[in-house]
Amino acid sequence: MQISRDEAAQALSDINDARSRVDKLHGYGDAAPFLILWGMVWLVANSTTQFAPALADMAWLVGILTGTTLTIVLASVQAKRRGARDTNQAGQSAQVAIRMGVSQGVVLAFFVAMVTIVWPLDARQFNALISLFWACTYMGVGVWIGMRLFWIGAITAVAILFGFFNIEHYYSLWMGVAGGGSLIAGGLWLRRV
Amino acid sequence: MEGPDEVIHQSTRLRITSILNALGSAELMEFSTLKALISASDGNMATHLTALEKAGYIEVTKDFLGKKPRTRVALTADGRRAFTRHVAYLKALLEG
Repeated sequence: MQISRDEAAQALSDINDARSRVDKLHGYGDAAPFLILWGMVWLVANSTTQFAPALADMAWLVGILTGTTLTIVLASVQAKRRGARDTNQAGQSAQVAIRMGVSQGVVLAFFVAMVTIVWPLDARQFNALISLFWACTYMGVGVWIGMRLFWIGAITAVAILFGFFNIEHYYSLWMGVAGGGSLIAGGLWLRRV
Repeated sequence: MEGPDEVIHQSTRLRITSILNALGSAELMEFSTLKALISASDGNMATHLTALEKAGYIEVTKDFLGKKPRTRVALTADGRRAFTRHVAYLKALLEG
């Protein structure tokens, strides 16, 4: 069997393409449960804010604590699975995880500092700002992981801005259904090949 | 320099083994996922998976997830070695 240099180059390019498809599949699979989880937190907490304003603070507190706890659990389960997947790169993965954690810390510190500078914000502005922050984060991460995540972030951001500027009385409900709903739908979309 | 692996080099089989090689050693991929990634028909996939299985390069596991039948595929240790050798051959051909 004879293989030309062109055929060899094409075969190596196909191999690289296959590798990036699997990486994208893993990236989407890892991101999906986080989107569904936080979409549900948005949906429940915003809906509570709309229909039972007296319980709003409690709903957000419970939602954020539950979301954060489950995020940590999910992230550590995924890190273990990733370690098993790339046993030869386990050390590298740990370093990457630390760098990613520090990067996230820097972005969060910026967010806290920015909110402190522009304070006071009303509940509506604060909700839009923090929701936009996460939607833009998904867009930024999507550039690296895969464009599906970018579009989920973009659609969520547009929904947030549309609601903020156009919806008066049912703003929280809009944020829950359109914002949270787009995250849940996006998470389900990521799970499809 | 060793020659190319004739089983692996065929275009669809090369894509199948490339994808399976990118998984962890204990990781299996569902047939439907693999088929979607390759963009091949059921018949085409079955033909190439059979050829790879006959060569001892892949292992096909059939079981049930609840009541739903499930077919999963993984590269064997022999398959991984053959794939690595074939990639080394392709690289050597380009560099040589």
